[in-house]
Amino acid sequence: MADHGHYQAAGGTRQGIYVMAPGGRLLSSINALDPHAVQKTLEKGLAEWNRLPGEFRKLPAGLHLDLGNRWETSFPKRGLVLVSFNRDLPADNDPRSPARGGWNRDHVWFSPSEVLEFLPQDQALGPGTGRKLPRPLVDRLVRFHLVDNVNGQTLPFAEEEVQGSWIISRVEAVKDHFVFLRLAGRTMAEAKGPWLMGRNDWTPEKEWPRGIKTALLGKAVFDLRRKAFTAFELVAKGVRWGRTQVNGRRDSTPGPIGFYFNLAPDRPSDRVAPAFIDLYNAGWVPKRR
Amino acid sequence: MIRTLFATTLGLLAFPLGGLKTAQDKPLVLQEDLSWNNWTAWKHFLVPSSADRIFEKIPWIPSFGAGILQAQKQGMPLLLWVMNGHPLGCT
Repeated sequence: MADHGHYQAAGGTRQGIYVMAPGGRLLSSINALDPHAVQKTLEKGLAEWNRLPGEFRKLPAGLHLDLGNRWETSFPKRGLVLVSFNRDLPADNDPRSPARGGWNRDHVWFSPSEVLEFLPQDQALGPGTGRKLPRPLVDRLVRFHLVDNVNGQTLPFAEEEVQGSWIISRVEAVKDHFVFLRLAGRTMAEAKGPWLMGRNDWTPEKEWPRGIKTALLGKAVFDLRRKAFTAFELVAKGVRWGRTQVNGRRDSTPGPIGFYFNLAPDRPSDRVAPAFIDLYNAGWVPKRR
Repeated sequence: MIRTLFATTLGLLAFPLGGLKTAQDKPLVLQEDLSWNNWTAWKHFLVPSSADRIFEKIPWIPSFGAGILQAQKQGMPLLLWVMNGHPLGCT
């Protein structure tokens, strides 16, 4: 279907917007940022749909559509699902600055058992108690989410490239069955150049030295009865340097960068897997999809 | 120990980055800590506006196959958005 679209040939990227009949007939397509051009394409697609004979609108009779085994199958239903927003910070370090460029987003997944790791383990819950988060949880954020994808697709960090990163979770208060937590930490990841994560879809053709260093502060509320977070907010502020092939950086000049993590809404679109799910340090996500 | 670690954390959140230089060859140094005093301000800076997130109002279906089945069920054409960096969070 896509081969008959705006690229008019097989092979290569298929990025774009397509209007199609469920039976597979392409009605219109475009790859554009201009909303007016996109609107015209949608209108053209709808007009083609209205002209399309009924037998071409649907899937062939008897055809069973196998939706396959998708990453979303591992969605941690009773875990912690966050949405992240990443964007460059103003050069003058003033959060009131009106200058705001592009931004990007992703999802973060933690399993139900990993969620419990945010709480003190070997002591009764009470104000002042807390713990350092286990290395795998910190690594998940540092390797796969504290990355420079503000302007485009980037690369994750290998486990060996995480340095001196830690996050502390401390109980501020316990009220009924709710635990009020504060989070604080520092992270540092630096890739000197050689790709350390083997052969996969992300393996670059050349070396991309890069790094990110952040400070984090956050707060969360945990429901002991539901064993789930009812609130979770984390801000990370720091600096990035280097670049990758398509992350939209012209050169390796350092710059300030920020991240905000929040509970993801409960919508189908928020069940999309994290960008680097195929490399996630999570044994509960089967690797082959 | 956690109390001590936490008490010193805020002081450690300002870190000089003298080894990194901007294009003007000036050291890149954070002007201030990330602290609870400015946390909300930075949060508001980072969160996209409602206008920027208006695409979220579309009831996106997170898989192509599921979209085909729903379009077939509803007797409607399907809008398919394909790219890295698309609205559903795949960067």
